[in-house]
Amino acid sequence: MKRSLHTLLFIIALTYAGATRAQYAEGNRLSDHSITDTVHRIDAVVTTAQRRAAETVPAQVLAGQELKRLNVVSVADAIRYFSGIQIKDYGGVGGLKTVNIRSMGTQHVGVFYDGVQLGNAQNGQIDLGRFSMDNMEAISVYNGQKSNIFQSAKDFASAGAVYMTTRRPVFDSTKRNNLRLSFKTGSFGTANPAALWEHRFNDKLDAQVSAEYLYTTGRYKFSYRKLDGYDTTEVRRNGDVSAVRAEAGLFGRIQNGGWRAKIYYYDSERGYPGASVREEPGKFRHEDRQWDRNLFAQGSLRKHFGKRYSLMVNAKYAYDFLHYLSDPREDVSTMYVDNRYHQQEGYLSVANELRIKDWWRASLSADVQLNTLTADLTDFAYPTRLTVLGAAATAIDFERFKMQASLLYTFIHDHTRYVGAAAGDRDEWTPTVIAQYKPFKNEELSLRAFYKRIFRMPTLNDLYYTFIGNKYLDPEYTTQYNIGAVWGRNFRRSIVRRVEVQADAYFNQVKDKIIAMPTSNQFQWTMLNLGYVEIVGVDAAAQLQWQFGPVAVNTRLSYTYQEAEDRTDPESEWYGGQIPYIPWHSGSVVVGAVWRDWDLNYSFIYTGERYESRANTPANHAQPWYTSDLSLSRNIRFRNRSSLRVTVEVNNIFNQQYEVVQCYPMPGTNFKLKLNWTL
Amino acid sequence: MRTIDKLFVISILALTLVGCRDNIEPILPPDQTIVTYPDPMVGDVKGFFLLNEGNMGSNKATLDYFDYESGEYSCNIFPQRNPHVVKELGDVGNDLQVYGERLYAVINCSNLVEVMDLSTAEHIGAISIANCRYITFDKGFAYVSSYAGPVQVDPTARPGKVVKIDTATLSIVGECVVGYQPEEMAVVGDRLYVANSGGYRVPNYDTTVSVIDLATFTELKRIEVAINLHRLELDRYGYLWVSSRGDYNGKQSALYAIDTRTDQVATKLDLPVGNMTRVGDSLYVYSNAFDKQAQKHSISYAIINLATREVVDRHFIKDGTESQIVLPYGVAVNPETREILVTDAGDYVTPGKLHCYNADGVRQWSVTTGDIPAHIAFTHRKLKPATIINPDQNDTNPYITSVFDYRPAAGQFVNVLPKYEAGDTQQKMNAKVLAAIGNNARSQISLGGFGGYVVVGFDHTIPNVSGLRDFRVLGNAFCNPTTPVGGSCEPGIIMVARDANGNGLPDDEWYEIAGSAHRDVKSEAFYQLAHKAGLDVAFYTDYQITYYRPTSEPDEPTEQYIRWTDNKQGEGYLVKNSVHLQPYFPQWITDNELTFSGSRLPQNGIDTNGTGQNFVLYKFGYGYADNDANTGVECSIDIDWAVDSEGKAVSLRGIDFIKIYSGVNQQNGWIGECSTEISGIEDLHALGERIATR
Repeated sequence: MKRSLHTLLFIIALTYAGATRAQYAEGNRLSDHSITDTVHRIDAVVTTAQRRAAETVPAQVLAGQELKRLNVVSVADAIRYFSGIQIKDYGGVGGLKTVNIRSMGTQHVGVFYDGVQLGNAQNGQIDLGRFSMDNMEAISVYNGQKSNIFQSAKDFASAGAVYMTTRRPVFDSTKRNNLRLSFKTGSFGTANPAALWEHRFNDKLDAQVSAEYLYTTGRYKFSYRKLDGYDTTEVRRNGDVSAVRAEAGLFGRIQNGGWRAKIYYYDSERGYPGASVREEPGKFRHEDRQWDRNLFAQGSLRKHFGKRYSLMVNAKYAYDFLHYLSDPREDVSTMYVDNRYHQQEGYLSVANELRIKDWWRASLSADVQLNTLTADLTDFAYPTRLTVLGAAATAIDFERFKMQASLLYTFIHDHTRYVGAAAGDRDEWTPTVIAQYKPFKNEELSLRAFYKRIFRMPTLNDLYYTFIGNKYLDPEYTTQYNIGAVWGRNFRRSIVRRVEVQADAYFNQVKDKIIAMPTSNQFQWTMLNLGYVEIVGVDAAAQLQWQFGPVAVNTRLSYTYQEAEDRTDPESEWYGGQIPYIPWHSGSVVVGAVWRDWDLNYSFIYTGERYESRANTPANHAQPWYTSDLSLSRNIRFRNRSSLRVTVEVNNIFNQQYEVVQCYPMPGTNFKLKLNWTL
Repeated sequence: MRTIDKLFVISILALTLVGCRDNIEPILPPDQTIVTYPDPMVGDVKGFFLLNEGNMGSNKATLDYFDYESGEYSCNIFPQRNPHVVKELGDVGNDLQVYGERLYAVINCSNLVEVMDLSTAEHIGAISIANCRYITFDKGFAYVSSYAGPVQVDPTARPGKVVKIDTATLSIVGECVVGYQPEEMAVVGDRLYVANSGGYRVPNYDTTVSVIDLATFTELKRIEVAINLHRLELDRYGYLWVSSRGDYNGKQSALYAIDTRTDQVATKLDLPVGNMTRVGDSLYVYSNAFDKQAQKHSISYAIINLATREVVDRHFIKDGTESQIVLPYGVAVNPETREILVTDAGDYVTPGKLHCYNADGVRQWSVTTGDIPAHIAFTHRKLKPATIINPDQNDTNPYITSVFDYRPAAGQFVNVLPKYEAGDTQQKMNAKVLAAIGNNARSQISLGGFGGYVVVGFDHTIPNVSGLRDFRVLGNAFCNPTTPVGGSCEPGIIMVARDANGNGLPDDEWYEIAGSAHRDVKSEAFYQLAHKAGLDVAFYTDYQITYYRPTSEPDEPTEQYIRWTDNKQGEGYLVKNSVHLQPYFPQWITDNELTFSGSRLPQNGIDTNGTGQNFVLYKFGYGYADNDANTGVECSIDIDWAVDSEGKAVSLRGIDFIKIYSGVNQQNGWIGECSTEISGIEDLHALGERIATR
């Protein structure tokens, strides 16, 4: 029954599309993202049938209206629509959400916010569930690295990257101020007001200030059922979140260049609902809590000197505070833990590009970063890490053939308060080669390939966490081989107006994988370089634009096939098992329809069967899950040129009960109402 | 529509179809494997339960059971027997004990003690106790240690407690505050000793053993011992052995003995302790130290003589197989046989291993367990089979429903599997066979030496489905991944018949399933090995053997026990061994000679090291009973393999009767004659299983 309803819905979504003409474009405006930092004007009604410049590395972008139409709360939710990506989601608004590109592991993913990397030297993972969609203009994912040689050394330094790009002020010719107020509410007791103000001082300087508050109780019902067995429905508790985000930015233009500066502040308190395991129902409260405070200030300047030389400087200071409290006075079953962690990061990057010929460019960039971590843990090492990165890159660019090569040098020096506790210095050289070829002059077909070898350093927790850390760890290496093709075509008389397809096949190796291993009992674990994983996969994505009379329809499909096998120990009974939480098949479908001021969006996410352990036994088997979300919105224009956008969302329409992570149930059907008033 | 449009619609529909799942997950049945030879003469210890902790936060505590009589190990028996217990056993099993007719499992992160019936493992009740750790018993009361004592103003100074439970009502009747984070307990006379760890107060560990007066249930005193105390074992001399975990960082783990008459520490042994268990005057201890730089464990397996309080052995595993243990976690010793059980938790996130060593420290068998196998409790009650709801949707019974004849040859399990009792007739024995292997009872029967057979029937015709295997014969074979594959394979030859005359009796023409050796004996993987070892590797289709009833019944091991002769100029004796001393000649049969005929398979048992100690019974390719582990594909038979008496393939639409007879005539040293054992037959189609043919 469920399935047939499902199919029916698809057919409705496909055939309901009616008939007239509307400008429909944002979807394919994703193109120039590799140069996002210089141009960004997606907000307004733009372009028709613009050709998407094929990326030389596999890249996927969600931006503009297409991004706005998705039923997503956070950046993590949006990334689920990309191929080759797995999101680990502990459920609910407040649950940790991390991204894993092509099964190499979360810590191999570089996450960039407006061009500068977000760091977490402590554990190397970024919770993408905390980044609000309110101010987000584009989200893109690159395999390997961005195919742009004029970038900081850090852009070369991860196996895959997520770039979050926030809104830049854009003004109509006569306006000097933009004001936007929005409010979201819905299931889980959610209230989410936000405000944005943009001001143009003069044609050299714009400012933007935005703020947001989020509150949710995080409560939802979930069920566990067994055939001819138990059937229980419970409520997820202590998943409340209360968070404030505030950002202020200045955007300046100078001759042959521009600069921007930004301050970001995030302050939150949240509960940890914990694993949903057997216990006497309702007796234990699970009141673990966490407070986070993140502050960073970053600046970026770029300038072209003459026709040949360009300079870019990035700088950042970040302070991250985390306070975790587990108190037996609140929950009798728990151990008392009251820890505070402080991290600081200072970062400076200089990148230079030289245009030797029209078809030949070379670049040199150097980054310096300093991280410190303090914590009120017994016998804590108080580590400080100095990272120096240097990258040399070159690119040749002919009409039908492009190639890039880069070499990254990394030097790492750790210092600890106690002599002898620090890991030894490291220096490493890692290369990347990227190539693209267009076999036909008049066909939008290009073939691409890349090779990249990169590593991640053990995090400060891996090395120095009291008891668990192991200073003898080596870095964890990844090697990627990728070949792929991109094809696109416009159609004139068909219902289908444009088709874009990209497909890539890859082989990745993760060597010396850092994993937690028990030493002698449940209290005592340590980190070891023990794993070796081989990943063979295919990522495919397609985008189709349709026109059914007055209704413009955009469709996005993604599909991923991955064999990610643990090949650590040939003697092991579990050798060759699929690594935990990586499905063999996964995919998504997004169908968006626009008619006059109305927007309808349907999205479907599918994650196939997978295992919760590399021991691929029936006990560790996890069922496939798939959710369908629907949203409808209307733009109401007022005479005073302000407009109100009203959106109604229904998520997980079929109320599927599922888990992404074992024992962390996800919400069933939920609703949301969004109001967005632009002045 | 244009092609491009069609293509799109099709791909969306395809994706929708891929996206289906079984809406409600079924309850997983236990994973059962025969791991060793059956022991029909089992003593008071019928088996043991093993509690797997499961990694924290995964709700994967599971219960396993080993049965000595059948040699069968069953993984994860709890869900099938308790389908209505929400979220199964729970999160992190921390202790398992038998008391009276009940089994108690302490589930630490589920904050409860699960109480089960000892002979069924069915849920009786659960007692919710926050952060409970270990359990012990005295005079009808259970005592459970818990980290969660009364909360203090200073949350770091929260003491632990011992909770007293009336086992008759499963209600909490008292609490006694003890030291910080109490672990194991021991009853000494009218006092309870509790080891306090202080594990939540790093680096300010507790260093004491609390002494509780059981009559008043109040703490009498604390005995100063060492930091981070954990395990307790009381010996026969009044000494209480206490292990200190050390601080994992400089301060070493060590073992102390408290004289319970003076409550003073009497002895300290500089032996690190991971876990320990006492039998008689022996304390078995394994210890484990981890070197981060070398990324290596250094592990020792020691025995302490409690009479002299000295380490008498540092390697209780004697055959060098301890190198295969990654991370020892649990240790137990069978009080009757002194068999040693050691569990290996491996990497904590994949299933572990259980290894069984005989009293001399030589490994007997190993099996895969649940995650983090840890706590073992021996039981004096054989676990009853689970009550299973027939999985079949229609009325067809997939299992054996009738037994027409059971005529075993002489053999070491004859008169035992099933048990012959004075006065039993052939009819009575047939009924016992049905009770043992019919209707999915999954017990065992033995067919004795070559030729012994059983004839069974079903309530329906098992169809012959083209391209698929049709039925599965369950036995007690096990295979190790050696080359060639071997272990304990005692192949039986399978015959099938249709009820051609429709009288419901197996008086119709029989067809033999031609297995791999029927087709080409030289293709057997072990053939060259067996040939070299001088075994009789001939295959006969016209073999006949006669066994002669012994003139007197010896009650001690006898080499020349039951004489046999065959039609190939062979003769010999069945040996009576020391383990099985009952009569080997079927006692309900009055004839003095037993004659059997049929095909005879090549001998497959090889004494691999020539000492007569290590016999490996190699596996035949396919097509025989009791020749592959019950989980293996070669237990399943395709009716298309049947041939007539001239060896020509026959085409049968289905079958009504199955006959199985022992196919090898060989005496394999101390493990006895090669005898086929059967524990059931399943109609694969009725079970909805699709297994491709060869």
